[in-house]
Amino acid sequence: MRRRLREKAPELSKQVDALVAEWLKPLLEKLDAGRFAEFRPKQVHDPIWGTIELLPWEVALLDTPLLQRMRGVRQLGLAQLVFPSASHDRLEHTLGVIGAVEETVRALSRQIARWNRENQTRLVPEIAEKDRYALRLAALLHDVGHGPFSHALEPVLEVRSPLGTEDATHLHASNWREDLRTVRRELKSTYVSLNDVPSVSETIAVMVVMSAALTKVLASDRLFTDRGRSADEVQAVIIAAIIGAVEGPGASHLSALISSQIDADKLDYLARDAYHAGLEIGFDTDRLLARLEVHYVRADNVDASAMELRKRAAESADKAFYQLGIAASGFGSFEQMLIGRTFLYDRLYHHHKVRAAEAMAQRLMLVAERDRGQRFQLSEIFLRVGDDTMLRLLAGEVTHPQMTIVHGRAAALAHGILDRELLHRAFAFRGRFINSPPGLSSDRTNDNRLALWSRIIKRVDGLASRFELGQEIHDLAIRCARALAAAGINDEQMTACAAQLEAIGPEQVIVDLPPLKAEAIRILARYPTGQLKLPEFSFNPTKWSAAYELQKRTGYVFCPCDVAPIVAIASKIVFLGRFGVTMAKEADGYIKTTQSIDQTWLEALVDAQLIDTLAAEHLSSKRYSLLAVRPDDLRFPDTWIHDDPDLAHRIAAEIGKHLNGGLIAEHVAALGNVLAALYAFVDTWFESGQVTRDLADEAALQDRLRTCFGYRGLKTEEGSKVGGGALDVFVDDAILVENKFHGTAQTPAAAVPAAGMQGRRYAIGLNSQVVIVVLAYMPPPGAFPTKPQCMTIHRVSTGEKNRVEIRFTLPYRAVVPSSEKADARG
Amino acid sequence: MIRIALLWEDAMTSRFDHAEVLAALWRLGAGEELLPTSHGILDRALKDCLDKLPEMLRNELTFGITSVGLRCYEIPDILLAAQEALLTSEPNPTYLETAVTLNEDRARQIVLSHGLSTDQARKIGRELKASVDRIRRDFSLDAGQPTAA
Repeated sequence: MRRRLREKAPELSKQVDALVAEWLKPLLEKLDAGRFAEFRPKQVHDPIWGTIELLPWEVALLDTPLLQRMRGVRQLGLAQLVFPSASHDRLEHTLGVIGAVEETVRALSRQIARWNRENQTRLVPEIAEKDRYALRLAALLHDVGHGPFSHALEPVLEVRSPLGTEDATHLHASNWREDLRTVRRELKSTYVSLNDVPSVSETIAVMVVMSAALTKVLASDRLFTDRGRSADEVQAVIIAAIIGAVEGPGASHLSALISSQIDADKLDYLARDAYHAGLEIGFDTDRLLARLEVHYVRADNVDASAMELRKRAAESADKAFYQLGIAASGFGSFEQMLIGRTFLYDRLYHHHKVRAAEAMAQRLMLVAERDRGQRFQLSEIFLRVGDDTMLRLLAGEVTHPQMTIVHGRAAALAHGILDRELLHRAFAFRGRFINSPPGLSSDRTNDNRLALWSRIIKRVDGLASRFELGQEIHDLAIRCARALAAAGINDEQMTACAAQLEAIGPEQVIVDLPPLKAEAIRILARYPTGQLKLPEFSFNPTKWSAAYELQKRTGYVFCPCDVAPIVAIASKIVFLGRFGVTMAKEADGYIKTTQSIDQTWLEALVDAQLIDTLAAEHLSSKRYSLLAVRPDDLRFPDTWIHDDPDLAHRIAAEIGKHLNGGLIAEHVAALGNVLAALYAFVDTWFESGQVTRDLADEAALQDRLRTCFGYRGLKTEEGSKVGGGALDVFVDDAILVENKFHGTAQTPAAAVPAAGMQGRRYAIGLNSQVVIVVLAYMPPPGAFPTKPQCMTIHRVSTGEKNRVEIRFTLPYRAVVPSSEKADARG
Repeated sequence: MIRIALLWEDAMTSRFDHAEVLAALWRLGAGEELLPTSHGILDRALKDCLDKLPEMLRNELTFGITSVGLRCYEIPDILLAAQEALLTSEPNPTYLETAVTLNEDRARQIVLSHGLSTDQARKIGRELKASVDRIRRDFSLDAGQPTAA
């Protein structure tokens, strides 16, 4: 496995090998020199587990940069900026996990001894010393894949391509990140049974364990005097334990002690994080440990829903296998652990200031890469420095021979974290905050909220797209500040605001939504009947936790305090323009800016052509979100739907693709009216024989259109003021209809670009989002469309993102194929 | 002002796209029936129907044996994404299953956007539902059973 994985990930292996060789150099020199007397057992005193005894080979590894590097890597990332005492580091946690392994092994050993006393016919094997030693080593090494800022760094490592300048092809040189993906995939396929896909940090830890230098250390018989198995076996056991393998190379029922739903890692960090943060979560470790068991899994005692386990048991040597599980009487403690974890996430990990700091750290790493024009190598991220020193390096306060930093915008972010000048909340967003227009049914309200929220949630999924959205808000904020200054509104303050925004750049406007970790039950419970099955909770704590976190999960736009009011306005405008949403007043309670936008400010923004009057209304008095266009809104006649049952849904979906959010309610109604008139127009066109007759010119087409709209009672006016074309028609004060006349066209859908939007003035406007083009053309011989084929959807030709063109292409002077003649005649 | 060009490669599809397609297939094939979220029932049904699923979902799903039997590794993330996107109802405490909140109109638009006709999607959804029913029968699990996780 080792050789295969390393061959599959050559760049990652090379970089990890170089790193670990450097970290273990002092130890390897001692081993080579035969200075084994230096490795003596030690005791450390720990606030959670009391005295933890360390074995000689553990001390040997502990006293190297491989583990000492973790001394300054804080367990909770930047949470100590909010919870000052929560500044414990990964080294403390690592030693704590060894303590937790010892406690767990002791508890399990007691359980096994009791079981064996009571069940003489089938004895559960005791935990051997060789297993205990291997598990302790796995505990010691389980977190070596963590870099600075702990978990906050992981999403950064997963960003495939960096922030960059326009010519940034050279940034893609490093492919160790791609190798990380390969190794994760390979691990998944290597193990017969695995509870979850290894995380990024676990994958790096696996590569560290497999590195040449650590392999050599593990192979030292004089250091590992009591290994009890071959070095290769130890290595496999450690890897299986780190990734929580269930079956496969090195895996056993004891692997779960290091990585599973109830493992030594969680037992330690839950207790330790709560202890250092000063938060009480009421977690009863002793009781939970007392309910852990080694299950004897047979085909006849495991539930039918785990049929693969039955099969595995049937195929095993003794027709059974062992697996770590829990007694049904331990559900209460298990629930308590999961709920305690949820509260820790809510109070500690997801505190808005902690989020601001971590979002800054993530942004900082990406911006530093961009500033220097080169992606970080693994050796730079895993530099032998703590979090604070890493921040000082990125701030340009100190230098390191192994890391090149170019002074740029990253420095300001680093200083912000170091000086605890954290970004503030300027805008809050959440699905349930989306405000709907009045008078909608509850179903329509929910459906619309769902449609709008899905756009937002997709857009902010990932650091890359969040940066782009933040950039858009930043740019608009500058334009807003300038417009307000020009209008004489707080002009000094606004001028300063614009200047500050220019100075900080888009890097300090950060859109953030906290990540959630998907959980699923991966442990079996033993019931008093002896049956093994999934824990039957009357209340499922993992699902409850997901619901709790989702209910409270709020997205924020963070920025420096001084510019928060203007970034708040820009955020509101961008969210309305890009997603069609306004947030209910409830959202304002989550930010520290003014509750509503001053009317004079909105007027100034309209005058500056940043928003139109409709948008201004929706940001103030109306504060409604837009309506996504539904198939029913398009009012297709049944005869059209008959031939193509998906027509209305397909056209609605295509319109939705081009309109960022939707339309205001009045425009949805107007669109339906105009389209209904146009379907009738098309019907008449086909049925009256116009398809085969000549058409004089564009004016003739417009006459027919006006007549059609007139029959339908639709108000029309000259559209030149709105669309710029002399023969455009503006219908129902809402929809611009352009008519075009064209000669022969092979592809009429693309024949003539719509012109209606070329004169559009506003940066973000809700007027004139739809333009309908009616184009008359002569089809080439043999090409004869059906009525639905005459209707196509396009982005408006100016390339603007929140406008849609609905095009009707109507043939005239066509040569109708004989089979179509009956239809064409109607 | 420095303009920054973005060079990220957009992911082909996101977990939200997978959640949308799964919810839409279920809505069209199973109507108002609740979507199972426990005991690996959905995981197994997806594996049974893997060849029939649209490519974007088929290529994404991987399966393995866990401590509790066969599971799809991506399903917890996809179900969480469905919740985040409000495509499914909020979990009740037992959470054996969840209601798909997506209405039929929206479900049809989603499958059409991914190149499936409504009829094709309905057929896949029905096969998924039939597979779920078969697995439930095999496990003798009653959907209304109040005490399972």
